[in-house]
Amino acid sequence: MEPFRAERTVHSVTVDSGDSKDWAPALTGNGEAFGRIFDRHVGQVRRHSRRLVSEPADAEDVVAITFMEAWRNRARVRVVNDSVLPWLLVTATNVAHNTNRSSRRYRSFLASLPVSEPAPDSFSEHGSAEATQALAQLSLAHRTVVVLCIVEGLSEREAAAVLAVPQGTVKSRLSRAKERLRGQLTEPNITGPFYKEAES
Amino acid sequence: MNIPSNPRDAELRRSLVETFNSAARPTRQPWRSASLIAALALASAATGALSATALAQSTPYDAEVATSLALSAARPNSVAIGEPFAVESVGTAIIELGEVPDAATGLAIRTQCMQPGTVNVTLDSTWISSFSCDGEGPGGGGGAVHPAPGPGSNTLSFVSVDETGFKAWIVWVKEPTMPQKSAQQVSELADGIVFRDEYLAAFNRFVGCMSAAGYFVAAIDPTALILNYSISEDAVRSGADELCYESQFMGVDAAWQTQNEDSSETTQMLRECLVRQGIEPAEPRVDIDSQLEAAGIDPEACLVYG
Repeated sequence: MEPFRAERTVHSVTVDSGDSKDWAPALTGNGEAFGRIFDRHVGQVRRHSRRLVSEPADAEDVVAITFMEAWRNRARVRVVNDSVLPWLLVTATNVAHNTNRSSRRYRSFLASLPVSEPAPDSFSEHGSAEATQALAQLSLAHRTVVVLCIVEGLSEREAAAVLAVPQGTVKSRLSRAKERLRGQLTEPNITGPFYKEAES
Repeated sequence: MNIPSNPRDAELRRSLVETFNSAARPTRQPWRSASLIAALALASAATGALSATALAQSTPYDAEVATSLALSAARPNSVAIGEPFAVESVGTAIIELGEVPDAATGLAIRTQCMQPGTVNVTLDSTWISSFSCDGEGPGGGGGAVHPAPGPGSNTLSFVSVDETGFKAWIVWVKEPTMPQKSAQQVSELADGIVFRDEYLAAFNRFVGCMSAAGYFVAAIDPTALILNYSISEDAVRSGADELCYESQFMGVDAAWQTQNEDSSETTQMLRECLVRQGIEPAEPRVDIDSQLEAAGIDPEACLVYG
């Protein structure tokens, strides 16, 4: 059994999402172009964020900060396979890793946003609590490659492009992350809704 | 595609759209602009020799468009007085403006580059400004309002140093009275030193003033030494930015930036630009501007994101 191979039909990254044609104008002051990028990806960034933090309200802050970081770091955003989504997912992972520091930077902005309606429990909606907790136990570097390559279904090459590291680095990090996850998860959860077993 | 259906997402989206809209307008660094203009002016004045003068061909621009373009060089809520002037020229151009109309307080001049080179602008033979065009085609140029001269007929000259191609739109204007500093801002400036808490308090008043006028101040990093933020073009056009900035923040902002100028994000980006060209950046900010000018580096190109 290969428990950590991705079930791409569930969490695959949408390639050819058309972000390139919107990202360039967004950088030159076309806000609506970035609005379209937001529309395309906010759902997936939210699902991803809810896997990373336990409180739904914190996940909402991660979502907001992630998109604001796209503005602050716009010179460094990487568009991979015509999509900004991988960069957003990595950023959300980093933001969730240090929510306090990230929130402090955007404190006044977050305070200006309306409070979200009560959200469904993230565990029941998006995956097992044990799988989420196991993910949280990983180092940031390992968690990031797991998110990109296993949860979101990017190839190692694509993940390497997003993270600006050699493909071999992604491969070795992924291998070690899998080892650690195997040690933390019991088999029944491995085939749960978060990590699906690949069809043989 | 996921269209925001809840109020939080809708507000987040609105803020993001407004934030990215502001990319067309650089974040405010008032003293950088001032020093660059001074550097350009000195450099242009130093070039000295003038090409042979030739009268420009008048261009039949639509008066409304020409007025609008010229007014874009003036402060918000300025009013155009009389007919505009428009010129398109390769080389020197001379425009007979006639007398200053009643009520006009200044002459608004907007320029646009068409071909590389430098142009000195004189009003009644007195130098008032310069602009330089690089070799990258249309788009450069600038704009400003110059105080209305005294009685009598007036002549505006665009003196091309090297057969520069350019367009210009000119109109007499009446500008509104400048907003007065608030009592709080006057108090913060009274001792000649701005402290961090005064700087933040003044900025928060600016944000509050803008918010009351219906405008969002985007991308605030409250931990930054120099607060970097953006506002929309609409906020500028409406005059809300000028009113709020002048009354609540400008003096304090200028003093704080002067006290801390070399650590601003903008300065850091300019420094990095010099380093990439193999030039060791000077310490005072004004020297960095001079270094960029001497190396032929467009400072705006150093600040481009993406």
